[in-house]
Amino acid sequence: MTTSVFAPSEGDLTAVLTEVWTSFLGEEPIVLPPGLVEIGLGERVTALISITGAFDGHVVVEMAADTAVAVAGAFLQTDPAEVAAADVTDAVGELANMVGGFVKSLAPSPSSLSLPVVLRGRDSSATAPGTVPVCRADVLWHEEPVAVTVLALTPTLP
Amino acid sequence: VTTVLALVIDDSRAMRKILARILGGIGFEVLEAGDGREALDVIEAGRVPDVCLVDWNMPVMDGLQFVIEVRSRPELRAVTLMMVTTESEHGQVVRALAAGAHEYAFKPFTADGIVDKLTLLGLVPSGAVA
Repeated sequence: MTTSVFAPSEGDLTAVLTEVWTSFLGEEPIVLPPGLVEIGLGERVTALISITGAFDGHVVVEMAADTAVAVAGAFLQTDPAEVAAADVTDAVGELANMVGGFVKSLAPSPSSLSLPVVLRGRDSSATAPGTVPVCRADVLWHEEPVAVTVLALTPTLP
Repeated sequence: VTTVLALVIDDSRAMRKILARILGGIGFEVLEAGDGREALDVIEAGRVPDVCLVDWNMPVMDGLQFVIEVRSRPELRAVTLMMVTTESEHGQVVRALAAGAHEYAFKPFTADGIVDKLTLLGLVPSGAVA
């Protein structure tokens, strides 16, 4: 017997990214083939939101720290120079919340969404033990990459 | 002309600011709260809003708990409750409406979408929308 794990399609993810970015950042992002452009090795901001229930997994949104500041500025319609660290955490977390909510709506139900967790640091890519990436979407916004990955908890083997 | 008093309840300051901007644009006075408990504090301090825009997933007291709490208080019967949330499954919409929410908007939303729903609720004075 095989166990199937829910996975949204890359098209689903790029559609919600485009909708969120257009609605709240005022500009449609450019959709890229997954993995074509990697986020640089410098400081980055990573937001993770968990889905638990009939589907167990995480949605991870990652971007360079400078991109995150620009995102927060666009979100708040504020000059990025005036954006505080808390604004960056808040804005990127809320973007992850919207993407995560969309993924949850596609996942088997009932499932619940956590509050977002936002990490900032050098090479702060989120890793979640016991999960596998099941879908990834990449977009370019202001010529900088933003990556969204859906991680699914792997079924426990007997 | 009486100004509509709105209370935006969302744990994201950025989201509160966006909603406040939309509501301010149609002439509403806007108060903000970071969770359901904070919102009740605002109300208990005497600022009873005409409408609350309520996120679902928040720390301390979530949006559904807030709706249930408001609906349990007869003195707040006139307060209109509108969920604004990423919770988009049919079952969640039904839960919120059954608990006493009047309207439901999904994130991501557009400004026009929010104003349209408030208009349907009879809260937007004619001429307020450009």
